[in-house]
Amino acid sequence: MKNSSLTLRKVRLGFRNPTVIALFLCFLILLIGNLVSPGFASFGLIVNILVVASFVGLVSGGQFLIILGGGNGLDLSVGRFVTLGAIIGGVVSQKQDSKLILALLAVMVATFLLGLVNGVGVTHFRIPPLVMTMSMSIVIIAIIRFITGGIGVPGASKLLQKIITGKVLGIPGILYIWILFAVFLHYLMNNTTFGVKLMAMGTNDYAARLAGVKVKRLRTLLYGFSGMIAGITGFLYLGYLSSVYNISLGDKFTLISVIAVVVGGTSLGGGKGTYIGVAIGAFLLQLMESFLVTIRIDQSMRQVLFGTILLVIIFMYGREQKMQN
Amino acid sequence: MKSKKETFLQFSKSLPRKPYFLSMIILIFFFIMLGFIGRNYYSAYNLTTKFRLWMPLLLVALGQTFVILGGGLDMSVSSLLALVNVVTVRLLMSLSGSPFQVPIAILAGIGVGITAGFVNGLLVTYLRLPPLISTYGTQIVWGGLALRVLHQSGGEVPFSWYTVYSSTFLGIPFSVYLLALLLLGVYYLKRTGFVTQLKACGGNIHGAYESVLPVNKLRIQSYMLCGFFASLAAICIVAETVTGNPLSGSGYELESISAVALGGTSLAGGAGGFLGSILGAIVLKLINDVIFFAGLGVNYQVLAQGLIIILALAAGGQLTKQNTSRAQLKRRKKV
Amino acid sequence: MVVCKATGVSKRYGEVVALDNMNFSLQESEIHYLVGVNGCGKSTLCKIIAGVVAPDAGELEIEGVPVSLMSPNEAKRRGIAVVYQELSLIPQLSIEENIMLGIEPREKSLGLVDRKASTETALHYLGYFKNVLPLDEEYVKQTVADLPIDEQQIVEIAKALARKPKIIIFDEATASLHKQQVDAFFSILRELKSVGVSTIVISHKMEEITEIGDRVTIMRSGKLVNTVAVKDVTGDQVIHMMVGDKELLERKRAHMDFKDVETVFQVNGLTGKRIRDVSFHLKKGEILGLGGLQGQGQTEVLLALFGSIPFEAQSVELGGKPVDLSTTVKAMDHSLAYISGDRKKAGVFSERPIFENIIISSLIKFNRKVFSRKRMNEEILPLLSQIRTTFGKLSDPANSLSGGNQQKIVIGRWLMTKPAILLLDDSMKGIDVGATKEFYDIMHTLCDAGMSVIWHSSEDLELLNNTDRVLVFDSGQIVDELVGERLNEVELYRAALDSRKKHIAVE
Repeated sequence: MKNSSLTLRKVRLGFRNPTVIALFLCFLILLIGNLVSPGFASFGLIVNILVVASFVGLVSGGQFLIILGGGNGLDLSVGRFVTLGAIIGGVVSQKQDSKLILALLAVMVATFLLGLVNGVGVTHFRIPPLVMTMSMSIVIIAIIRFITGGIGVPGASKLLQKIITGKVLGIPGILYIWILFAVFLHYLMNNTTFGVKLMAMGTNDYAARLAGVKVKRLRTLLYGFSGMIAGITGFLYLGYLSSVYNISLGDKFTLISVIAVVVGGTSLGGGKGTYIGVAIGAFLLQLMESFLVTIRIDQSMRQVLFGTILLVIIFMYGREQKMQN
Repeated sequence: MKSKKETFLQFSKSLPRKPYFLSMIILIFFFIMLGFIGRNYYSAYNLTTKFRLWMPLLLVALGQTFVILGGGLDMSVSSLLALVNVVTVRLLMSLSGSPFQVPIAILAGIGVGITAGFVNGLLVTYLRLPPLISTYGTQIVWGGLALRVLHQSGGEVPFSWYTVYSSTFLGIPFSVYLLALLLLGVYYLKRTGFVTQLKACGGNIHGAYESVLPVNKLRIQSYMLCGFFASLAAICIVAETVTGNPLSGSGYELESISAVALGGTSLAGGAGGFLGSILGAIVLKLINDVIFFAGLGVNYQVLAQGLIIILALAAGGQLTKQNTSRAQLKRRKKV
Repeated sequence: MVVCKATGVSKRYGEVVALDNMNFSLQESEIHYLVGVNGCGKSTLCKIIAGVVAPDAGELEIEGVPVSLMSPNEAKRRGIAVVYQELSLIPQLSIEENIMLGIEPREKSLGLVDRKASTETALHYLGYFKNVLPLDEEYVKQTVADLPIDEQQIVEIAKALARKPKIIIFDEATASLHKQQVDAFFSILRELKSVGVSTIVISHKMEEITEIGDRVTIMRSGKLVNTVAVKDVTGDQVIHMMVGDKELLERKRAHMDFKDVETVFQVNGLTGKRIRDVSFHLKKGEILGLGGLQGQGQTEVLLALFGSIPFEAQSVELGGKPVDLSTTVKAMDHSLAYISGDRKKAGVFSERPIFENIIISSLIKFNRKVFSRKRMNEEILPLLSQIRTTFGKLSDPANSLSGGNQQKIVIGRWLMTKPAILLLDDSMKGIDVGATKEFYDIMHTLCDAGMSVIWHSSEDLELLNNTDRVLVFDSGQIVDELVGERLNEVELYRAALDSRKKHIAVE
């Protein structure tokens, strides 16, 4: 008797766990999708959705770190960093496989430094993250235009394309990269001092400082990482697209990365969340999109439904604490 | 009784402590520069045109100011502009020939704006969703609805709209009268204590509850006002372009927040003002003109826009810090 | 007539009894002082009267009407106002706007705020302080954030008065006021009395009570000791009633002579926010107490030494060598540790696992980049059982524990860094008696092994029974040093209060 009530409680608790809800929603959509349109939950289609989700998932990784770090942290420049990464990658590698490593390094250094500028503005000059990163995205678009100078950018080298889209055991390379990234972030959050400090800072800024965390320095670094992760994603995205088709190719990532983080159960207040949740969040968003396309809802209605579902999900577990008294 | 001169002196002394001081300095600097390099910048025709183009951002920034003062944020204004835009245009088209065509279209547009604001307000107060993410959500919804109402740019708007909107009376453009009327309204809200109570919610929500203020009601009203101003901005865009566009507002959410921040209003809520937001919005609009007349390329325009916002906000932060320590120093001397 | 009556009121917070069958009554137009040593339940009683806290048991009557489950707003409607020490002001608004917030006078025609009337009303309620404030229309337009703390306190008082309460509670409202301001405060109390308003004043200042109080209620450990007319008692009698039978509580720590022991820590001329020229030394194995009334700079001294707030000092020496303690990490490198009693704000990371809460500072201090959970657990578990922490799993969030156990997690965090000097800032707040005693034993053992402790506590007995020496603080200064026989409560209170009298006399 007692045992069964305990199980019941566990189940109920599970349903309050955002990751579990998100995962449950994923299965639900796959199930309904397969009923409505047989083949929706086939291996091939799921892999396709996962590939699209992987880029969102990677970018959200950086966003995730910043939001975890608290202090109203947010990076609205990630989308432009994606574009910048793709463009620097293309320009430096010049479609040559031999220059691929060099290109990757160039992307990493450039985006990391620009990301640090975000961090310095937020921590040392106390510019609200929202405005700082948004202004930064304006600066980056200018930099992008300077680099391209209105002329097209060389596309991805053969090797890069192969790494991203080439399949091993039926699974494209980008998914392996994503899995590695997820494992790395999971390790980072669970077995390193960096992770412990980050979570502490996000939960309670003042207590973290008293526990010995150099809050300003760590927070500045986070913005550097976020920029760099988005930049690398852009570089990989270039391999997926094989060419830069227009200089706003990364813009869509900004909003969706924030949403994926929240849908994945990370609190916007900081200090709470897992990357596994974020990854599932990214997949769920993509799945929802595909599902709405599959059941032939036109774009406008799709958008309305997407937004409404999003609000419902946030309502389920993203609410703020009651303030009154 | 103080003489006028004394009052003026006092005002100019307190000026550096005003939140909008920085944007005012930048603005004056820009205006002087434009006087030198901007060819015929100050011709009546050019100024009238410019002001008309500034109008939507000015209005959205004013609306955004209410929300931010109350401790919130409205990321949905961009799609709301689009939604009101297409609703108004569709009604104008379907009511073509009816004597009530224009008032109904305008009132419906405003109604949509206020209702959307009400929904935002409900989400962040009674449902306790975080403002940023919930208005992101409604941004997507309004955007979808806008596309539903009108699939793509188009639709016919009576040309008289443009004629009226671009007309002048006594040499002063219509849009200036409209703005003046709205500012009068804002002033009224300030005088009723609404703005003060709203600032209390944004400044220290516990203190606001402690003073028995209707916190939720005030915050919902701030979102409704934001919706109202956004809908007017949308109608201005309709009059200017004489056509409907379901994507017309994109970028306005971030631009309006920048304008508010540049105007010295704290994004954390509780402090700031409307004059600052107007100055901030004009600064944003003038950057492009200054760079253009300075003979720099369009890429520099964009770069300068980003850098100037960042530098201004960084300087603003330093200025407030200095002011606080100066105020404290002054007190210590007195004692 | 009795306007407020509490009968048999009890309130527990977890294992701590804040109020135990307390009785209290307030007459119409009386000035009723409420006194007791720190943590005796005064504030809890006031919170119950103000509807902020619901009692576990007992009855409350307001103006003869029994009230149950009263909300704060309901209490305000019934004319109860509270002036807290923590301010409810809106820092960004002006003085006038704060005072008139929600009760703005309006013109009839358009519903506009009548600015003239509003300024006049604000000035009227601030008028009691006209001798100590530069009162004019410009003054009330100032932003509250720009005011020093004492003037903010005055605004808070004026704000409460402007709501025309029938009962007004001052919760240590005079703590940050100086002599002339207190005089003005007295004139308010008299004025309120003359128009039939009843006041409850929580205060530590004996001379205040004898000067203006009608009756005084003395509390101890959540219980009523006595309610007496002020004219029937002396200040010393009140102190004795507050402190109680001190013989009952014995001191366990032996008096030791530290004369020939090496000095490990020497601070000269420490000055900073709320700290004025503090100098002291600390011997190896010694427990040094920082005592006095609450908020006299003790916490600030500890925070300054831990690199958390800026300070200036002539010299800070550790083991005879000058050290730089300007940042927390530097202080940690010199083997200092700081444990705050305000665990919510400055201690625990509530949503994070117990595991992370404990290891964080050791990881930083010993500069470890990665760790294995298993090996860490081997270190943590013995430590937690040593400080007798009860918990489920190490992966449970810290806020799943009781307050006392949460605090033990923080203590464990710092013991794991193997500190040479431990700074305790009221660290035992909210920990149950048994665990507290265990903690005292641990401290004593660690000190016997060579650790030194600087200990600030708001529980005076805790301080007196566990330290070797107590520095008494007042207004950021050390005013007395208690050693040996003088380590008792009467001496402590006398030192803390006497200096205050002298201080006032000088002014």
